[in-house]
Amino acid sequence: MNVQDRRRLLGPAAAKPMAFSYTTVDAVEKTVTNTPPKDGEGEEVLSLHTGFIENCNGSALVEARNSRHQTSLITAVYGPRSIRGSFTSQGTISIQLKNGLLEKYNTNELKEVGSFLMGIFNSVVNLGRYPKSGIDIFVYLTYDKELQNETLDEELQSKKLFSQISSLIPHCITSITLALADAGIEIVDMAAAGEANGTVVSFIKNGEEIVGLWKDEGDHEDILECISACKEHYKRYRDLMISCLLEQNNLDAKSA
Amino acid sequence: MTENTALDTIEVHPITFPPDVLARISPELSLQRHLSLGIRPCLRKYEEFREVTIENNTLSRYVDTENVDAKNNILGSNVLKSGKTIVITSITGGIIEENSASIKDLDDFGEDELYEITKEENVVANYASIYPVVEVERGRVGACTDEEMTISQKLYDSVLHSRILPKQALKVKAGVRSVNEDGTLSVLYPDELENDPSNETNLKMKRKWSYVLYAKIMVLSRTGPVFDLCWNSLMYALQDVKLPRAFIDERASDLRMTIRTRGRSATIRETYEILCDQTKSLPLMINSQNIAFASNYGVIDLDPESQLQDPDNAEEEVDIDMDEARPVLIADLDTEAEETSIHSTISVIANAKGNYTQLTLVGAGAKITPEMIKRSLLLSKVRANDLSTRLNE
Repeated sequence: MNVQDRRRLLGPAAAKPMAFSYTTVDAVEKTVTNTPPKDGEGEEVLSLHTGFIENCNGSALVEARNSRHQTSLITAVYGPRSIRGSFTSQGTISIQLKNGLLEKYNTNELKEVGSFLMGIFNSVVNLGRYPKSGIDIFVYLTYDKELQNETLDEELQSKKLFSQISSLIPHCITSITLALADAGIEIVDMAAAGEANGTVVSFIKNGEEIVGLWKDEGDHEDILECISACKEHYKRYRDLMISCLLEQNNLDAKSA
Repeated sequence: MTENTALDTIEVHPITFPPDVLARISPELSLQRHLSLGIRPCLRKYEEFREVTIENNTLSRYVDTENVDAKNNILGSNVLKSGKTIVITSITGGIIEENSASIKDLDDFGEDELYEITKEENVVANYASIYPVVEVERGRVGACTDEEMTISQKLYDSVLHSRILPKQALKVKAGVRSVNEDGTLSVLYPDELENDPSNETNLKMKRKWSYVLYAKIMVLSRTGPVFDLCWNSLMYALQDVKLPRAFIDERASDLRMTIRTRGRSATIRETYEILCDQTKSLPLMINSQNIAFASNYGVIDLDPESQLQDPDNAEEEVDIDMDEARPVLIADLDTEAEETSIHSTISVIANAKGNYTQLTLVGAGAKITPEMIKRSLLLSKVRANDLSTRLNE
């Protein structure tokens, strides 16, 4: 019996998780033949849905797919709900990121991203409107898959993983913003972000204001160039979000 | 004194609530009102089930048989949507070394007789289960809830006693990886080389391994009891599990070394890892005739007092006996109102052929009559029949 956690059925302690070999000859051959044609970044296909989770106040699903990877995140917003304890004049936001099916990122990484997102949404949500309440946001990284099966050596692989979490952040921001809008929580503006070379810049107000900046290892000599690249992404994501919300609104109006 | 008299003459006005507010403050009354009209708060009929849609194996590493996803360790998956609830099941695996060989594995069959005697009582010992971790998302952090724990345990026990997973199916048929003369690595599997006698003897290994299966079941948007959704999702996922082939290095396949510590000598075996093949896999051989699907029912007394009086037919309704409560069977419980007001429940796991593997009766509310049990068994069979066809669509 597992001594660490008696509440969950975690199986025999002696069992080892499956370790897949990276050096099998067949595997190498296969991946070489199946590598998708390298046409640069490729156009990213984004699909947005809101309001499909019943037992929360607002929810959003963001699915993104480009030539490099495929991501799917679910965000659920619970709140504003009353908090215990003494009076607070402002609402408090908590953001939890959770590994979905693939236990890919470690808890520290997710916490770090969570606190970064918290910084953004503390300035995006109109917290003064929600005294003595808490807004709890849960982001489930349901699915995150790399489409290029390159067999890289260990060092490169860990680097690649690291840079990947930064490419996830813009989608997290998009899905949280959508879920907040779905929950009817007052926000200053639709926040979105773009990513370039491991740098994530998040904007509001048509790119006039930066609400968050995340920097990972990566080649970014000219920060201004990065920012303008991110701004392009931002505008695209924002327009998509707005059209998604309008569509949803129309649907609701029709069904009502 | 004047205040008191004012209080005595206060008039009570009946208050009316919109239906959704009433459902919130008095779910019991709201449910009874709905039932008196012949429908339920979710607008289904008494014996109507929710529609179920599934997506099987879309998340597993073997989605694309041509190009296996190297970083994905999911061996089988299922996404089940029932009403508004979404259940995502992913099955992952581990490998455990069998340190005590079971009697059957021994070359010496001296204990055969004893084995035969105990065999009958110990059928379950030949079956394994899967280790499920259920997570019902309800916007809280911290320890798992009682519901999650009981569902996980019930799933574990039910899979074991349903005899779906024979232990034999989880045995690792390990191969050996060896370095060829030209320095390349190749993996040989004993069962693939049957017509090649040169390798057969080299590949006999004394050590044995088994796969261990884990299921992570995530429930999003919980609107009612979720055990049957989790069970059904797990059943779908199990039917498509592929186990990767595993191998060990030739150098380590039977390696012993003698060491001396503090004057004693001991023989230890080199520890080494058993690795899984990146691309090769075998389907998990489950007892597919034991695959069964779950459904649940509730029994509630219709309360004649909360029936809505139809002003046009007021005269006809006079002869309704106000004391007699009529019990009805409700299938596939959902929504908060049904969950909180219906205390008598029937839970059945059955397959399409009408073989029942589990029946749970909880009679905390209305009386469960034999007719109700019969009816629910019949409905379960029909439901299982319907659900079992989903995989082939």
